[in-house]
Amino acid sequence: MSAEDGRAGARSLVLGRDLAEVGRMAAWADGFARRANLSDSVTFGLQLCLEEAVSNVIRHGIAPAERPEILVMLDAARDQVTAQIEDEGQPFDPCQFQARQRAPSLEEAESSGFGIPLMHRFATAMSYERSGSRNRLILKFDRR
Amino acid sequence: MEMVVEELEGGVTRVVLAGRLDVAGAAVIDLRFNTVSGSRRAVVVDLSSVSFIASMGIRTLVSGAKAVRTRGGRMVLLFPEANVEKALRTASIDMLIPIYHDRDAALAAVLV
Repeated sequence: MSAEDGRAGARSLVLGRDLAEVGRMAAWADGFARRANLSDSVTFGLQLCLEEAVSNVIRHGIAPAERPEILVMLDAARDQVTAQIEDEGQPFDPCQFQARQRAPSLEEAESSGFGIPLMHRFATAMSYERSGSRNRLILKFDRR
Repeated sequence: MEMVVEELEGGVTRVVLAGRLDVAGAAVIDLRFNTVSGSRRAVVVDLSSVSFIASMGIRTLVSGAKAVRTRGGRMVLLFPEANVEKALRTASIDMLIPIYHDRDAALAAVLV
């Protein structure tokens, strides 16, 4: 692990299914970003996508009571950061989400539905897989 | 997340937000922001001290702007930091709530 070359060993965090955990994750991700010497813009994108992904899992994912945890893993290579979010909720693939058309006016605009489109824009790549009973969302962020 | 409300000359309300407008930050200010928005017609939201924004924060801003518009008024956003502005433009919020980097222009915009 070396802050000089920007690589940082993989780190993982287990979250409870509570929106209050999002703040704990943000602090943890911030520490990771500093150790990996990520730029402000990459850090912002990483933090934003993590918040959106984990918030969605907490708000919408129905998980078995005996396995409610959400696992977040981060890894930084020289050119790319990888974030992986896993949980055992019902299957949900955010990559399939179709953003609604832009509202023609403020009066017609809805106040929700911004999260996944933001993830698509701020992550360089996004992929989903269902492995057994687990959802696995993988986000990539180019560092250049 | 902190929120300070200032009443300026000419009937303009300046709402200064500071901190992270994430899911927790939005929850802290949501009620008060909507209360102010629901009772004012000219609102300038100063985002210069907002370091982060996510969808729940955007939701709070849009809800507030809609409340101001319902009363025939206008809300604008002022001085968002570069990454915050990128998030707002990605979500096309700039098309709903104009973004300004000039205080006088922002004040003029809500007094139209």
